[in-house]
Amino acid sequence: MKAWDQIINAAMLGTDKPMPARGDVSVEIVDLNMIIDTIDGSDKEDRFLQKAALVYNYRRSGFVPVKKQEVTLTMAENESLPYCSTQAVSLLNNILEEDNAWLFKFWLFRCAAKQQLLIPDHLPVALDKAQKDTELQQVTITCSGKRGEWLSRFNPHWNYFQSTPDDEIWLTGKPEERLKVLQKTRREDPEKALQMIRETWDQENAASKADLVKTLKANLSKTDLDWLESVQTEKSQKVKDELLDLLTSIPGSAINQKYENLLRQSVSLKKEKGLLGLMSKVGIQQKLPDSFDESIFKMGIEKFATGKSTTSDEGYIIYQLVSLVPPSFWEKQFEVSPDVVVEYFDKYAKSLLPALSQAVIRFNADNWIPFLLDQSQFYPEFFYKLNAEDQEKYLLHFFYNDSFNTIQNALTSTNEWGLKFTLTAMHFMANNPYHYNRNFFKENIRVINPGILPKLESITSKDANLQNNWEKIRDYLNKLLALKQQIRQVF
Amino acid sequence: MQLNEDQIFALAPDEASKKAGRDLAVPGKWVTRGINPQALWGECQGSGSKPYQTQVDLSNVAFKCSCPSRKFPCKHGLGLLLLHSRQPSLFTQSDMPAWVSDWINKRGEKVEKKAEQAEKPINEAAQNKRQQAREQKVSDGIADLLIWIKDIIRNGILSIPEKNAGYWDNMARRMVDAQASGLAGMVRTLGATNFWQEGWQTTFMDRLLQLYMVAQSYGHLPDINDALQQDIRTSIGFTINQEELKQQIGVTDIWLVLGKEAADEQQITVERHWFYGLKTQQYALFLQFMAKGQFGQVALSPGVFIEAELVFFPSAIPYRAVIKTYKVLSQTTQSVQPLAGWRQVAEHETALNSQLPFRNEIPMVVAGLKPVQYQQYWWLQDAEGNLGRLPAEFSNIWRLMALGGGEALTMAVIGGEGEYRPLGIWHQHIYKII
Repeated sequence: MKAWDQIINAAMLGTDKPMPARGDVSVEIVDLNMIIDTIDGSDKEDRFLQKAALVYNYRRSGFVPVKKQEVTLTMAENESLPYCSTQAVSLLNNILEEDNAWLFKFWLFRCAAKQQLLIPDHLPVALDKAQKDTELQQVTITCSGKRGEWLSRFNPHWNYFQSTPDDEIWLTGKPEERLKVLQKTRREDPEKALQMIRETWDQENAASKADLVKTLKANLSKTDLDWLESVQTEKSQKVKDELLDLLTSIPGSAINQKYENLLRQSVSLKKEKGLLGLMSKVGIQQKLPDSFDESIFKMGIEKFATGKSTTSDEGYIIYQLVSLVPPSFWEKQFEVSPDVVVEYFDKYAKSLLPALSQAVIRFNADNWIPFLLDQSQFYPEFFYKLNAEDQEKYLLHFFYNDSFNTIQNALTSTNEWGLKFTLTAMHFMANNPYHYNRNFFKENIRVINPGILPKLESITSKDANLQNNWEKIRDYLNKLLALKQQIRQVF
Repeated sequence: MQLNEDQIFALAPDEASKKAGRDLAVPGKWVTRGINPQALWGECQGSGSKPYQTQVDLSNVAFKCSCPSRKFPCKHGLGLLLLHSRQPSLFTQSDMPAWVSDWINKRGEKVEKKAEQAEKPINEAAQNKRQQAREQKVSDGIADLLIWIKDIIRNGILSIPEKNAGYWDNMARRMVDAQASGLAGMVRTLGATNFWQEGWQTTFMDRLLQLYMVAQSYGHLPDINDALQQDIRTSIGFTINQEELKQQIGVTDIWLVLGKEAADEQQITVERHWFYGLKTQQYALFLQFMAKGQFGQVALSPGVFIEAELVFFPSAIPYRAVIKTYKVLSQTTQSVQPLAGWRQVAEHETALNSQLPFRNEIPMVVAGLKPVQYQQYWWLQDAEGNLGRLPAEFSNIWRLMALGGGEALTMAVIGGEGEYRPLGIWHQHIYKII
């Protein structure tokens, strides 16, 4: 308002400075201004304040609204799916209040699985959370329904609702986005992923080449071999290392054949007749041939054992070779089944058993896993491939000797822990409440089995000094588990 | 009375209490539970050997608990209300145990005692003498204040942001000495202007001119109508005894609690409740002042309906009120009668301002508003296409949008000069705060 701007300008400088002339005052109040000027006995400050009060009241007395009929708002479409129940709404309020990211995610996934929707009240908070956590984006889109999609159009931060086609991301996206697209394609259509890399290979820089090659590890097969071998001339050491890692993981690759040939000559099963020829004595002989193709030392095999190692250089070379050939090699080499191979290694070449395990992992030889579970070392890769029941057995096998690390390993499970392991771990945790504190349970409620709820109260700390702390943590855990259980009940 | 969860949480003194109350809203925590038309009660097993005795006066929403918490209501009170809201069947209808009936009866006795105290005779001569002495003090103080205001205007407000705290504090103290606490508060508010904010000059001048108008008008009281005189005296700091006010006949209506906000002002928490009378279409502001550790006598949540008699402070625009009697209603068949759009709002504002030039913002219920984006700002558009601006700092636009889904909504808004923020909306016939 012009009159008010004049008041502010005059007030800034003060009445000691020249005041606006009458002609500068807005027409709406010019007459009243003149009356104020004629009041007897008033000084210039009084007159200014009265004029200012007049304009202030003029300004405050209503307003003329801006009329803009052409400004419109589209309507959100009606939902085709039902909203979640009032119990689910109330539960979500509790989860949001608890500020537990995993429970929120779990609620969303269950809601989506039941084809139900978030109520409009929850949309802003859900959309905000998904903006920060990309893992939540797809499920949030599903649970937000048409109202959420409509709402997202008004907030640029929620643009993840408008998905860009994978092909476009691959060609124009950021490196991390391109990598995600490639990983997804590799899982769904391995050959297409290889084709995508081939097409853009020459335009990629060394850093992204290494990352892209790494994605081929998923669903790696002989069909990748030709291309991988053709790009071995790459200059970047990082890319070379990645290529070598892949080539060594493909049975039948030239490099793999070299390893096998050398190993065939170096490790053999030795059977000797025992006393009176009644019993045969078995042994595993490990000895490198006097001369062999030393090019393997440029192809992923270290020539010398590290200084601190107790293994000889020869033993170390053999160890590396064992870890880099498919386990099926031994079935032919020893002419026995996998369980017997493992038995022989265990009896006659125990130091090579970890190398054999690594080979099982590298070549996804899952049929060998059951025979390697009794080792003293925990292999996460074996653990992930076991069913829930076997996972629990595997964990319990290690728990009593190394509880801390076993729990740490168990936390990497994609499944919820079995009831027996949960109970066993919980008794241990009750005695280590400073390690397994509220934050630990907040972060890891995903794996804790709510089946222990009826027994939770009876789990106590042996040390009376720790009991008080544990009780507080237990109450908190109780609350989180109850929420987890309720999510399963309401959906 | 049946409060929903949002309404119960709105009673919580802080976030921690909400959380703790929620944890206690499970049957296992309560050894006993009971209800009758006057009260809701339960015994909660805490860390001690004896359970805490928690009780809620249902007719006036008051709490009592034997726990040592200084918060009000405590987590047990909130937990008990929440549990009742979620699982009313767990509470058996029964006679109040002694510890509940004692409290309920005492609350009744207190009301009677207050009434007795009010009946005590007053020495009118002494009271008049005190009043005259005070008015002289106020006049002297206002004379000093006007000189101070003129000094500011003479020197210009350009250098005002550089003034130190003492500059404002000295004049505020002078006003306290002059027994003009209202003016003292206005001086402090003037000094508390955010000089870092763009447009501080307007905020500062608005406050300075309000102060000037109140101070200046005190010298012209005989020329002003009685109601406006009361507004001026109240603004200066002449208080009205609330107990005496309550003796007067008030306005009985079904009032909807449109909003509730608390703000800390000079170590005192001021809690504002805005009411809307469904039959009278009158708006009311109820204030509670709480020193640290104290709690308000009335605990009401937005969205709640109360059948109440409110007595308004005398004013050209009766707005601030005290609650004489009230009871919470579980539901009502009365509906709101909103203004049609921004033109009506503007006309209403004009009418109000012509009666009281230095008034507080008054909420209004307006129909058919929907948020729209225009020139990169958010506005509320009425059915005629007129726009009312949303404040730039309004942070709940996404909740407003999500609930509306593009449909026009009836809203309770507060503001002025074409800029209004929503206090709440009617969504599927339920009033929700924004």
